[in-house]
Amino acid sequence: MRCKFCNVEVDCKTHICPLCHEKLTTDENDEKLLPAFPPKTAKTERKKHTHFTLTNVYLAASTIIFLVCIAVNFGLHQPTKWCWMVGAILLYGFLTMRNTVLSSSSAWIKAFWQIVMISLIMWLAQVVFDDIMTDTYWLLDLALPIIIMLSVLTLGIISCALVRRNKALLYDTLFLSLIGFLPIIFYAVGLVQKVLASAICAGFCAAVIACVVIFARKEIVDEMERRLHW
Amino acid sequence: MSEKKAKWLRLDNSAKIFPMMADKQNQNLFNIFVRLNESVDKEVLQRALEITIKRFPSMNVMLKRGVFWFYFEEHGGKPRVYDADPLVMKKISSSNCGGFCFRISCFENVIFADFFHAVTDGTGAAEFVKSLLFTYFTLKGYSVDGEQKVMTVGSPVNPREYEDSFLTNYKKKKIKDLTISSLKGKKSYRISGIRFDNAGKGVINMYTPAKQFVKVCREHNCTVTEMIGALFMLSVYETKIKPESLPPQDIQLFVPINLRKIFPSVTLRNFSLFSRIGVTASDDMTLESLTSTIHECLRRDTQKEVLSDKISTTVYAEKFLPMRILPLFLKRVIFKISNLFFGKNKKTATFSSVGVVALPESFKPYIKDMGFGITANNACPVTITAATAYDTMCINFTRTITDTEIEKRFARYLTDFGIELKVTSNFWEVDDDALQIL
Repeated sequence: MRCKFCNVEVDCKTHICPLCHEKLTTDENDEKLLPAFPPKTAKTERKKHTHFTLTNVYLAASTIIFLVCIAVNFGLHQPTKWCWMVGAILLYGFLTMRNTVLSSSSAWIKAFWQIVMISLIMWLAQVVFDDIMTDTYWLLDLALPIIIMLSVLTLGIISCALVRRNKALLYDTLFLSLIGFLPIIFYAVGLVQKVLASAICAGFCAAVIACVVIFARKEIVDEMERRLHW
Repeated sequence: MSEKKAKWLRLDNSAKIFPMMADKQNQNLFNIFVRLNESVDKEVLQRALEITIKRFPSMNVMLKRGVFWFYFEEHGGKPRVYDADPLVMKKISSSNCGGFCFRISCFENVIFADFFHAVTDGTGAAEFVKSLLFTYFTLKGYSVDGEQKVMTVGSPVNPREYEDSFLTNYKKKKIKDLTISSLKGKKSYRISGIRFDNAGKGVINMYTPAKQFVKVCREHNCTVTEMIGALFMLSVYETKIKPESLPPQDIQLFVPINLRKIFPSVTLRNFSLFSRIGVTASDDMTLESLTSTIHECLRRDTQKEVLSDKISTTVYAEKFLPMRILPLFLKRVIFKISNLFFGKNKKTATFSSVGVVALPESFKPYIKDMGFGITANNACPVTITAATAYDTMCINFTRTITDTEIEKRFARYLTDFGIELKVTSNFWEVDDDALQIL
């Protein structure tokens, strides 16, 4: 096929010139030509323009729920503004979906963000329900060490279960366990009043680190070598 | 490959930047496409790929995040051959390529091999594709011979094939002796136009008899690279700058230089730097003046001392202590912000002249033609690549804008010289309905 306007031969199955888009003159040999690229299909187009992703649907539904909660909470003149808690939990769900479920980050980073987000929700609960929860120290004294311990425990169990498939999880557990010493540091600088939970958390995380180092030293050294570029 | 090395690899000096600059839609990709004389047998190609990948340990990897840098980890799985996606050079991700940094796909009689630049450059990719073709043809029962031009599956793996040649050719220098200014570009004209949605890319391939093209180049006393570069610059000026009556603009081409031709290296990983070829666009520009400017720029930038200085500078940047100890997520933020402020408008287009791809003569009955393409993005909406296989040169244009004026003008220049052109396209700029009706 030739384009008489561009003076070029068109070497793929088409009826228009790739350069000027004018109609081509054809001959009997053109039947043998194949398309050079896969054609754009309706499926591709649909895929390109879809807005109904899981994240978008969740975002839309949570916005509606949150707006309804605000209307009820403020409309009934309730003294406790619980709607902010609902908003925070919905936001937590969204961030969990984005940064934990759909993210390709390391397991310890995901767990770290979970600790941060859950701690912030706890803090918001303290602010919103300050009339019920008068003791403001429970957050750092009790909640934070428990959240860290649960996170380390969860990641530890997952690591044990999947260690054959993914040895990097051991490294992630080790890294996350280091965060377990944070509450005891807070105690040392005077941010925490009751030491018990912080001490248990530090002890638990130290035990996890010891176990990982004793039973998987080679894997950990290998993993640290590649991640730290030794 | 030693057992230790087989497990993980550092990214080479030039590759380190590519994963950091990747975003949701853009990634530094390039592809090689081979048109065969018959339809591709996908099952045979799959078997050929599974066999070939074992010969290329530096390709059999997946990208991982470290604390300070990205790194490659040995991939335990098998790569798959996919049906070619209508979206050319679609982003390579772990979800759509099984964790590999390349994607082999096929459609009708075409084999597409897309590569993430972090894993290799054009030379390494070409070696891989040649080996893949050799295995494919062998499995098909064709009589082919490597003719010392193909890394066949049985040939021993040279450890130097996966070395970082930037490091082996690095000469330590003091900071005052580094040529940092040579790596910075200056503001240049950026091609504008209506962009495709959702990382869509338009591709136009022009196939021409290499002998005819070389003859025209000889008549004009220039090389193929200089001729294509000059004609492209003229086309940009004629179709984009002149009609808009813009004030004087610098047209700047970003031209990769294969360092293997200058430094001793057999690496299959990245080993290329770049030259910036710039001219101030005006009515005084002629083909002769442009070819001589390009000749001068390339002569200057391909001197061994100049390139050695550039290697020293880029390796120094990697070895610079603050850079080394900065965590990866902070590096990414810094790179992205600096690219946002300083990286844009530093080039008009990327132009890669691959030269002649050394294919064995025994492949000739089965291969129609072969070409290279480089991904375009918003910062560089048009890329142009030229490669020759056997007697056919393929000039590839990839763009993120809808209009084809530059290509049209470029083709007009070639046909005016009497060069025969065969053109193909993915027609991304044309509506589906229009294509079907026509």
